Amino acid sequence: MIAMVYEASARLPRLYDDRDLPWIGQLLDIVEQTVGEPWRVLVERVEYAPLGVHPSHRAAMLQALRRVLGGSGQRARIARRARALVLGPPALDPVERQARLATAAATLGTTADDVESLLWVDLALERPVVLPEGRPAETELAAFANLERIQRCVRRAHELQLRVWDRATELVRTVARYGLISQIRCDGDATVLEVMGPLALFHATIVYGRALAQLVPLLADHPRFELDIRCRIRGEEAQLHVAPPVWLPPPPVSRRMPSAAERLAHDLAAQGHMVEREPPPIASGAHRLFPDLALERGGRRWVVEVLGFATTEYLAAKLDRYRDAGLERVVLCTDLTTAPGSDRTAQICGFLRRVEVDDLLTTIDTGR
Amino acid sequence: MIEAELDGERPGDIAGVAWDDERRAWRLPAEHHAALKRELADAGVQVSDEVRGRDTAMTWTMPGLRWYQEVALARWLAAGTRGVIALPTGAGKTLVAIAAIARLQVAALCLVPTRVLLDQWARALAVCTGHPIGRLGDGDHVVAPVTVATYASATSWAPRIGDRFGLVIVDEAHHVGAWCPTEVFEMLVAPSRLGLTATPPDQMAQLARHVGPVVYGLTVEDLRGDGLAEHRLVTVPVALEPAERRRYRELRRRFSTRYAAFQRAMPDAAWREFVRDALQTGQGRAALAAWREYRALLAYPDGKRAALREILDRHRGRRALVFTADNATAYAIARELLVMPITHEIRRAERTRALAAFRSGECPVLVSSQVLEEGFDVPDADLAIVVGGSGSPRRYVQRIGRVLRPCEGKRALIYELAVADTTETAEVARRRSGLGRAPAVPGGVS
Repeated sequence: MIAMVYEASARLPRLYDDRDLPWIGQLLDIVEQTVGEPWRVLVERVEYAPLGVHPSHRAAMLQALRRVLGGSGQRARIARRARALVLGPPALDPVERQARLATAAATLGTTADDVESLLWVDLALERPVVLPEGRPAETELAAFANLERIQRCVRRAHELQLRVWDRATELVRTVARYGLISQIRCDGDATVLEVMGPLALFHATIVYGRALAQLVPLLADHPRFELDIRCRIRGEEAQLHVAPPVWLPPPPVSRRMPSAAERLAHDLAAQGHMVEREPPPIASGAHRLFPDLALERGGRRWVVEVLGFATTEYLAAKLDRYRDAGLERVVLCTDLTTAPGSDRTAQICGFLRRVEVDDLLTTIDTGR
Repeated sequence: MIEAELDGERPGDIAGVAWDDERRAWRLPAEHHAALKRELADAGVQVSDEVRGRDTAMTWTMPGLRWYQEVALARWLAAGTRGVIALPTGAGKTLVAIAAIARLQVAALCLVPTRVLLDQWARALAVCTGHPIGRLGDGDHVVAPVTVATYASATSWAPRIGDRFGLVIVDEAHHVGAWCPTEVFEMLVAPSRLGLTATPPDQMAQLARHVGPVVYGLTVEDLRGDGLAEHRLVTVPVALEPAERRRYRELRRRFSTRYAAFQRAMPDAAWREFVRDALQTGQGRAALAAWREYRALLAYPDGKRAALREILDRHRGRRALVFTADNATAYAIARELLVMPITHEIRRAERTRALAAFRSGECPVLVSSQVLEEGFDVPDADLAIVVGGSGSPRRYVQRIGRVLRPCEGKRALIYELAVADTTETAEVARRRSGLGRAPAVPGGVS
């Protein structure tokens, strides 16, 4: 069902498939029986239930359940207000206690019982278990658990190789937007993205790992892909191979802010420069280069690529590839927070948060 | 960065050295900077060192130190400005640390576990100097010659600022190796290191390696009525209701049968090994469930409920901290008495408001299981009620230390509720041992 290769002795996280549906169903039965009780009770019941699976699988499924159910409950926002109104000196007398709840209820426009039930509704383990959309499907839960497990490997990766057959450009642009260190090449009809993992870096590994993990949900949109992750799990080297059919949740709806490249293109256009956004990929031997924009300056065409994480070797190799493709007029913009010191080289324009048009033009004019 | 010409020497032979392909240089944890320089100098190697300028010329206005604070500082200086000072909560460890900064006149980085402590340290330092104090954490990113940082912020900032300080101070030093990652220390060149704790850990290896051994230690009993407030400890025996007693016995039997069998089979096994083993079988899981259930029963039975009400009624108006065994009990008490719980789930803004209300007397009672144990400075708090907890002497010392901070005419009262004829009695005795237990210090006072 799921293509997985275990090439090392490390205990790689197992991805869930239809063999897991029976016990996930039992777990969901417990969830239904616990509706209205605190999450703490659900966690305890699941921990001791005779599900016949290791505690790590129970924990993974509960985590997935939190993602499926989402949020902290509809009335979470007023929980803090209820606490502010109700909690104070100890109410040792039942009459005093009831009076305080009633006063708060009048302010909030509800009943005293309701106020009491609201007190901890925003707290992760104390809020009641609710199923607003009814009982989730076993496969949905398994898909979210799979996503989390693959992301965990990615966050502990030395390197990963992603092979896609459709809509590769979109994925490459996403890799660039997240500022990941990657090389793209063609292999037959497939596009291969070789992305450096966080464990191959000396700094910002957590931030980088988090950015890299954001790639995984996007794979759900690709009917054909192969993801190979070389990672370190519990101190042991391991390799995970993932390919469809694998259950993954639908990719999240993009609500992203404009990328640094998009903001730069906008700023250049606003100053009257001729800018071409996302020019076609450039072949350089077996590799493919994806500049973010092309710019007319002094009657010449310059291509600009905006990078996030980078190492000195990575920048030098990228410039070499542009040169091999016959392009000399290239500027790479590097984020100085994740690639410190990279702007000491020619053709590199460093930036913090936003690429400044003046800095870019100075870099171009210096290298003209 | 250190640049050195090594004739015939192979840098890779130096312990801990790794080749960094990115920088095309050999790397060694910054922590070894001073030792490496000494080693290279001894070998007659020419060295160019970019790490410099850690001395400061800050002026300090220090209040007088108490006798034990003077002794602690002297011991730390005598130990080569490396080591841990173990003094009870409220005995003025922060002041010893500030005196150390003033004495060495070097840039200092103070590591603290929480944002509350970040504020407290920044305030305490600002009282003693007119120079600006740097802050890393809680949304602040200001680095100054004397900077306070939370453990979390220090972890992410250390690669950038690790060469700027000559002294690193770590508060609540027993967290080193766990909450406070040792990587932070590896990234700091500071040769002088001072750890502060009320409860040195039993396993000192990590702390000793990165900060130093305990160089001076006193207990709560040593400072009673001297550096700490006078206090009285009252144990309140609580009886279970007949139905609760029956339930307790049944649950305890279910658990003990399984646990005893495991212990017979594996006499040297630790508790976590029992848990791992028990989770494999239905019987084992039932035993664990029974264990959890009887612990919950002991955490807050009717007897404790009644005793708590009576104590709070008897001491109306006093600033009381109620400590529970777990968050569930803290929420249960908060709900019954409509008092504010302080747990990790309560967000910072709300927690800050609650602490302000406690200080002003508007909310004179706070209930918590763990969060209030450390880094909570309220000299006015004079009543502690321990409703439940573990047998850990360390946690117990931290807990009662909250009400021992000295104040004019203060006499703290500590109530401890213990369910008679249950496992809780032994736990109470075990944790009490922390009060008089002197840290293992060669030549220390006990």
